[in-house]
Amino acid sequence: MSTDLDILLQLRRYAKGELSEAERQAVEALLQEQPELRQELTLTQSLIRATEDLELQRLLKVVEAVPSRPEKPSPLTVVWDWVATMLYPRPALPTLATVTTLLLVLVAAIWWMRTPAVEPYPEFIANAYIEPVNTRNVRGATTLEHPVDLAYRAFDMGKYDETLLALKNVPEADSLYLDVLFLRGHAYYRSNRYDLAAQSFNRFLELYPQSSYKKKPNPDNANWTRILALDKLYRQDPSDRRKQALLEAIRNFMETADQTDSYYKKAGTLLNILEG
Amino acid sequence: MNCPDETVIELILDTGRRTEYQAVKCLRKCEPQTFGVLIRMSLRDENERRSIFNLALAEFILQVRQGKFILTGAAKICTYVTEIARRKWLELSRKQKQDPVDLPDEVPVMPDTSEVDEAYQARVYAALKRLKPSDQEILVAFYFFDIPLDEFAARKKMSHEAAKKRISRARERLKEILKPNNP
Repeated sequence: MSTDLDILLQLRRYAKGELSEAERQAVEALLQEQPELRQELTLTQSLIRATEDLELQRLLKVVEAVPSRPEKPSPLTVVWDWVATMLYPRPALPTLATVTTLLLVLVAAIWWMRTPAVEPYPEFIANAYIEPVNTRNVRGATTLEHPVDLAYRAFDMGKYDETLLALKNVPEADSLYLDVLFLRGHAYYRSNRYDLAAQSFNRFLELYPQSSYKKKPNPDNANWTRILALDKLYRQDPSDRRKQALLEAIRNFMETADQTDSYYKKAGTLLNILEG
Repeated sequence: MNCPDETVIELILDTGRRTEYQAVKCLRKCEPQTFGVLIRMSLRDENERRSIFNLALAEFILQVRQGKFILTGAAKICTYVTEIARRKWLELSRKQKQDPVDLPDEVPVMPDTSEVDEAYQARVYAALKRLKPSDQEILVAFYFFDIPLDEFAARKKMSHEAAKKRISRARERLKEILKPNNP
């Protein structure tokens, strides 16, 4: 007996529970009228399950034919599997790209931590200047006041023009002439006349080796303040010429200065800042 | 092989043999995740783990083709496959303990299932297996996947009439095998 395709379709939908109430009632009425259709319905119900089982078995064969992951996983997989067993849902094994990126980030972080940070210029320059020390006590000065003593007093009070005025008429032959140049340099520096400050310290450094006087001002302080004056000039006019003059002054100073004192360390820091 | 979830679904929906193989190859990426969960559920036997995973893959492909699995941002394939495997293992282990528990049945709901005799069901399945592959194919398409005959005919590049004849003959052959006097 050949069953009409429409009836087959309705029986299938009936068996799967896909019919509306009216359609379902129509099919049930048909089953009452034609009892031989009950056999068709039973066969349809069986075929729905049997075809699913058949398709599942076919797919299972396909799945089994595709090779599984290698039996011996890589050490990375073993470690990852061990870690991932504790997590749910299990994260996927990181790709080689992810691992490489993480390693690069790690190496960069270590490199960054090992490289000493360059101190920012504003913080450095705020504490770079070192006040001159009055040589009166080391000189064992008498009650008679030398113009240099007056100048130191004016300088300590922040009266830089008065300092310069006090030093104006001291002759070069005076035993304290190095103090004159030293203090003049500081006074010019503090009153923002950096060119004159640098000139004064240059002269000081020229005469310093020739002087046999024992109680001379600190040459490292003079040299360092000269460098600061050159740095200020470079900041006002950031030309290559100024920069080269400054770098040369720092390098010369570092060759001769005592490597353990604070001036040497400050010069090194400034050199790092300038060289980036 | 690059296998984003969208590609896997495309491969599964394309029912060609070659794409089916590629889809399974892609789905193998879910193995570690599923195995990890099964191990935590105390399934120590590797062979048993593998067969449950294979069964879960086959069932997943069936569900995709039936339109039961829709890929969304939240529905990741491997998580879904792992869930199928997890349920299968629970079902199996409960059966082994002879502790019947009502689990959601993944077989399509049929109103009169109780009327179908299990012995008869087994005979139908055996008869179906004896049919030619082309007969099996059209019966699976019609009864399981609900594919309309004209669509089946278009896929197989045949006329609607030819498809109609093929299903009719396949049913006749099946009935012939099911006759009581047939060995």
